[in-house]
Amino acid sequence: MIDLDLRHSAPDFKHYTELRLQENLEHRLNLVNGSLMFNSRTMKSGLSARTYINGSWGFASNPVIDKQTVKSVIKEAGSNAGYLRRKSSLGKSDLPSSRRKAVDVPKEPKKHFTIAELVAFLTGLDRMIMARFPKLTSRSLSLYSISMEKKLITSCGSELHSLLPRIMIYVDLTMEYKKEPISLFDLYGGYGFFGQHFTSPDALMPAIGKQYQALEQKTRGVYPKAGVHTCILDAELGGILAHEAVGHTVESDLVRSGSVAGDCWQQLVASPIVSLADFAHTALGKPCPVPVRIDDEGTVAEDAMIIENGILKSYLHNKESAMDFKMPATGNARAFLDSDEALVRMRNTAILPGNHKIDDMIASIDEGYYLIRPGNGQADATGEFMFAVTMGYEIKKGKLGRALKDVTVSGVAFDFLKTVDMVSDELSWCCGGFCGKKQPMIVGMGGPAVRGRINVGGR
Amino acid sequence: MTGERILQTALKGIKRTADKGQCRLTESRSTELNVDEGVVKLLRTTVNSSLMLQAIRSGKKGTHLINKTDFSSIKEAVEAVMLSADSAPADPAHDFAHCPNKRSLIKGPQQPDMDQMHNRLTELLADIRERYPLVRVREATMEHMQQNDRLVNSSGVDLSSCTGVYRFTVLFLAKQNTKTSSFNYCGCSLPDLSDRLINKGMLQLQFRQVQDQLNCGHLKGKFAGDILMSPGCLVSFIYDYMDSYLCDRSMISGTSLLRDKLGQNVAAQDFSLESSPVSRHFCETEWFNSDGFVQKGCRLIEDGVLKNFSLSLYGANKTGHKRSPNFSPFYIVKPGDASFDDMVRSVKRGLLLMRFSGGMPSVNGDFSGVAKNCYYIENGKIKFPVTETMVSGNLLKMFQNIRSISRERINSGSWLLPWMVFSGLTISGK
Repeated sequence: MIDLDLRHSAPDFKHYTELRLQENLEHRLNLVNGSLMFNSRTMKSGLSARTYINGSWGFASNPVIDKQTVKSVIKEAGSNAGYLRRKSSLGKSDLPSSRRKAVDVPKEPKKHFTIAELVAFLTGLDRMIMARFPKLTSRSLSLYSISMEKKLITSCGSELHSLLPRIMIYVDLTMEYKKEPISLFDLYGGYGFFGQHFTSPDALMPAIGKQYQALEQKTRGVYPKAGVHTCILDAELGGILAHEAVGHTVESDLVRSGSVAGDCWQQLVASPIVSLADFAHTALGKPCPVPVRIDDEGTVAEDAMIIENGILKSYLHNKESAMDFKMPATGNARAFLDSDEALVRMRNTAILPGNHKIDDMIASIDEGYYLIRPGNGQADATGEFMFAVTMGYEIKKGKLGRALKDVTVSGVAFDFLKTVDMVSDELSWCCGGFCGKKQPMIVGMGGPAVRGRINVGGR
Repeated sequence: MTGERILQTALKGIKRTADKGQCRLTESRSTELNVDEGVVKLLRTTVNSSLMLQAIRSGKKGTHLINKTDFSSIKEAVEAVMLSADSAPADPAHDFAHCPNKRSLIKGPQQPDMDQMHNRLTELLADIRERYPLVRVREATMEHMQQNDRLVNSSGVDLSSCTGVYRFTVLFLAKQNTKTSSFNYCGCSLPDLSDRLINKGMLQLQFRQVQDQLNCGHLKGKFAGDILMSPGCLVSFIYDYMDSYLCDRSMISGTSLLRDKLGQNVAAQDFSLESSPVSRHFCETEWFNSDGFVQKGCRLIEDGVLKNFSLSLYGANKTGHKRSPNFSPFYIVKPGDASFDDMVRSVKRGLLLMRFSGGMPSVNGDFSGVAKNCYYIENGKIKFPVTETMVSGNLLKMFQNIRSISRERINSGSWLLPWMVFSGLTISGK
């Protein structure tokens, strides 16, 4: 990233102000049946400032990075906030002050992979898949890497320098069965750099072999029966539930606009065996997939215990909402691009593990479904959610049965969580969470497997 | 440097070693007002630039995108794009437009009227408070976007546009005591701010509906029924249909079930769909595309017959089909002759569906999801709003089972769509 010492600009701050220098570096490769459809690299960087005056905010950004532009974005952000204050003064008080410094820049491995090596890795992997699984009718392999580097100073004296790298390989396999295409995708990778996750195409093949086996089972799969069933949601589905159906409803901006969680403060919203948290950077002594130590307002990021033993205990805050709610700021203000303002966002959201074994959970169900792999998911202010499930199995008399075709499950988050009566004892994170809320954002989501009653949209 | 100099510097650098090169410079300035807590709280002014360099050497293609336009950044980007191209496998399907063509377009308001933007937004908030007291605005934005876009390539293509447009979005729900409705939203693009925002799209209907939806009923069991779908909901199904059957990815991968159906009946006889990014109906435009061609309207399905795929130059070269006149999502569906009331009366049992929260369809077009902001219809009458109701079906079959199409259409500024009734979808309650 272009080096510019932002601290010299502090004297230019006339009101509460955040000044951020950010660079996002992304790389996308997409190989469809051996043809490289996309081979693009994007580097975006720039300066932004955000100013608060009595409840009105002004924001300005510019891709030019020099001392003169620093002055101009600070001035423009102040002028924008001033314009709104003149239009309608909200008369709010100053934001709480916090002065913190943090550096969180993971060391890049010495081995730097060139574009040619990344392309060679992906094409090599594709050739192996084609050779080993000739029944496939289509293959799509994508590589997506992002590294997000930020430098921030605030008028309160906080400073941050962070780097968030992520590397993912998406593998989407298709087979035909009775002339109908059936597909199954999976993703590999996570927080860090290419070499930390991928050594050779060979090393990925055992996992892709399992994906292929699951696809074969899915081609002979069945549609589940529509209706409410006792189901086990495996870790990734538990993660998407925690993020979409609970996490969004407790974001303070949604609470303020009327989300269902606003009326449930300190109330029982889940079975007493359910606890759910948004972790800042470390969960149960291990690093999270999206570590946030100081957020983009300069607040120290703290864990937010959203549900504790079934009781709703915390919302997710930025500085202003924490002041309005008279609660501590949790460090959830995050921005995706240099030209984006910080919004209230989740970091690493998960249900906490319980004490059941997954095999016992399966054995406990006479008739139901084991839902494993999520597609996309959405949720409402009411907590009503929908998740696509791309891989799952019937459970009959305590044993796994036939695979399922693609299906969608739905429910109301707090209603579903009240039906949870078993929680497995292992926490695992999905390696590639992305969230959309005005801006995209890298997030972590995960959990144990949970057993509860959910509406299955079968045939 | 001027835009002209930036592009010529980049293209000259690429042409030195590449067989073919293309550069696109997009410079924009956005002025955006944001509503939070029911008041206009944030004013954003952002300057953005994007310089995309593309190079083909020996059939190998690379793309590099930066947001800097100084000489040394361009020089580095030229080296990076050549490195990227050299790293790729050769594919003779890669190409750029090769007929010299120099044209330009100016469209829309080039400067924001800030005070009017603020006035219209605060006026909308006041209108909502007065007429729909239970509605809460979750977020709303009013943006003016001015964009200068120019593409040049090594075959003499030089296309440019200066466009300006207002974009308005609002996301809202209703709240009464501890009851919360589902949220709904409206997004549209406007050539000017001459009218109150509350008159846009279907906003008044949507505001009325979310107030109703504070008290939803439930359906029990499942049945095969009709879906009367709003234009705003329809557009998401059309996007899925295009992705599943007619666009580059599904055609190149061979997963499209319509890949061999050109000239054949694929949908109901009265269904005609076109894409037209240059239509006079729209204030948004994509006048030229990333291949370097000026875009034209494209009839995709006419009277139920598949007329064209939606393929880029690469997609066309890869599949052996014709390049599409455009591959942009500016969809227009031909109106029918039914009124909305007639359509409701025609439904024996089904749903009025305003929004759909669904999973990505399977490659065979199977889909399922939750019906949002919807009402139960029985014997031609809208009965009550329902929640926790799912709809499932198959995209291909759904567009073959169109029962009626309305004469009224809604224009969002980038799509123009009617209400439609689809029959034979599976509807299931709790």
